[in-house]
Amino acid sequence: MTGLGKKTILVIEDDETIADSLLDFLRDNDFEVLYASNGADGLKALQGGARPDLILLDLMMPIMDGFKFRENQLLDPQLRDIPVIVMSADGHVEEKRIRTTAREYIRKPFEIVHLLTLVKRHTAAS
Amino acid sequence: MPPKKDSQANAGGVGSDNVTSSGNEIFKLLIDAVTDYSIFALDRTGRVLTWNPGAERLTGYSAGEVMGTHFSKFYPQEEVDRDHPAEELKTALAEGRYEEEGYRLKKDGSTFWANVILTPLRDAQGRHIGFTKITRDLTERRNAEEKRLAEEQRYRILVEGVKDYAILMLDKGGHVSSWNEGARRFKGWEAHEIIGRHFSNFYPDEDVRAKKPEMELEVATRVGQFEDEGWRVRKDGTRFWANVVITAVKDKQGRVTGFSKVTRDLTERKRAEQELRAAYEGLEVRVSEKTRQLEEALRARDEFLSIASHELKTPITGIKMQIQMAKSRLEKAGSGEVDISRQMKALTVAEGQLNRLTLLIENLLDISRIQAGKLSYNFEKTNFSTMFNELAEGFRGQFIATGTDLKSYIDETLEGYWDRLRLEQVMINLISNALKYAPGAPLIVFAKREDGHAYITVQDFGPGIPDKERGKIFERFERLGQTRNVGGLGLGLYISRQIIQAHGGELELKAGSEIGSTFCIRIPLDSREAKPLPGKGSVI
Repeated sequence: MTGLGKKTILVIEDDETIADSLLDFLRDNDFEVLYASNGADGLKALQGGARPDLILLDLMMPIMDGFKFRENQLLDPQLRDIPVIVMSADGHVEEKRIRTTAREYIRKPFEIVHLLTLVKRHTAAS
Repeated sequence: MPPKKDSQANAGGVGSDNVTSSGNEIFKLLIDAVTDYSIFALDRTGRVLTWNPGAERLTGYSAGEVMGTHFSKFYPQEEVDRDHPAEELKTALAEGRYEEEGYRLKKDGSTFWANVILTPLRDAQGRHIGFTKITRDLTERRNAEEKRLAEEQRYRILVEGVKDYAILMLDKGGHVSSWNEGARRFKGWEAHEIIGRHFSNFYPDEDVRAKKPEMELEVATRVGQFEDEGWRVRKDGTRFWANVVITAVKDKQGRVTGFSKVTRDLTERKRAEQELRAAYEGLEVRVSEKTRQLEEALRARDEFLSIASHELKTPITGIKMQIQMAKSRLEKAGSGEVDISRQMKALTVAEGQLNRLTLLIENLLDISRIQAGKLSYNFEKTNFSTMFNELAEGFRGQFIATGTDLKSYIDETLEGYWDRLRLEQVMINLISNALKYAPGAPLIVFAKREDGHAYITVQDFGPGIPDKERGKIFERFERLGQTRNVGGLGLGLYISRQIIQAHGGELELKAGSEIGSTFCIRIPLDSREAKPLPGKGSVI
């Protein structure tokens, strides 16, 4: 958590356009943002000390996908309680949320208002 | 002869005359009582000396009619002609007895089958004085015998002529005692080769070792019959599938005197059965193979739908976010000042994503057309160099952005009859791949004329393609390592190869490249006459 009471969101997403759009959108709504283009980079950031209030996690990614990232996150007591919202363009997102024991899921393409509601809800709880 | 001896004999004869004449009397009575046998005496020349009622009954002659006549009158003319009656007497005299069966004549001229025994008659001194002749009428027995023989003969002819069954007789020990045409045909032995040999010759070695032939006779003896289906062996060692029935043959006392054996060659039926079974099994294999292919096709289709949906939604997500964000900013700004540059950026991003979406959809449509065989080609005179330079110009921005150094070595006179737009599509695909997988590295495009063909290579210096992936890259929906780091449906190389094949050419990944990947295209200079290989696609 950085100063000024802003909440920090880690976006882990391989599609550059979507990632850029998400980062823009979150900044516009007064969030601090961190970005990783795959699970491995995201994990590295966390292991390097980053402590976001929420993680927006894509599932289908190269190098390390969202499932693998989640496994690693849960193995680390320092990291496992950081809430995660999984994002996927495929039709079985809820199933995948359950599989990853993530806090929440959102199906692509999403309504930004809905995304904002979820992000606010889960950062308020932390 | 010395007179003394004669007188002695006479004296002795007189002394015992009474006894003898009473014995003769009894004997005469006995002879006269016999009606079933003709018993009479002949003198040394064959003239009838005595006659009994049996003789009268048998021949129809009374004693008065035959006494003193020669016995040849009872013989058919042909026997008389060959002097057979005299021969009989001669033989009887020489050998002490003559017996025969033959036709004899009755008074009424009819014949009967007779058993005749002639014995020489000697007096007490051993002098030959004549013959006794005992004749029995065997006509009935003879008739019955002839009938039986005729029946047997008919039956034997019947059995011998049967071709579709091997019918043979075995003795008690299992040795062949008769052989028919069917047996000869099935088993290959001639009668003279096999009669007397053991029927285990018809069995495979393993059955002989297991004492199967003996067991079969044992069962037939015990229960009357044995039936079996199994392999039997021909003379030449080949096998046939046989149905075998062995039946015990018994005499009146119920003792087994031998066996009949009937064998049917069922090889054809067996073969038909086996062929049917093989055909059925083959069918099952084919059905399960087809089922597997269908399942695979369904799996591929599901996977395709999943990937297609994911890939199509990704740019849509970007477009949707940008539009919503722009809208939201406009709403917030109200009538106030709008950040034009941000709005422009949103529109530019959205436009880029729309282009991406369009390309994806184009690829999907191409696939669909290829599947339906409806991808049509317009072969026209095309200069490769001109075409390539134009498309390279379109890539210039990306080359600069990624720091990729394009080097082209192209024969400017290289031209042929090709579908310009489709060939362009292939080159765009190969260059896009190089830009995706090997950004910032040199990219070498080479094109020349060779043996009536255009030979084109596109070489990058990226990570290359692992050996185990090489065979798969031209399949639909394949992307290197199944990773999602590179957008697209994995259809580009599949479509490209289909296009090149439709030109009568081939698109291949050059083997053995240690650094990067080299794709080679070889197409005839005139594709108008090309006979494209049929697409090996299954249903999506």
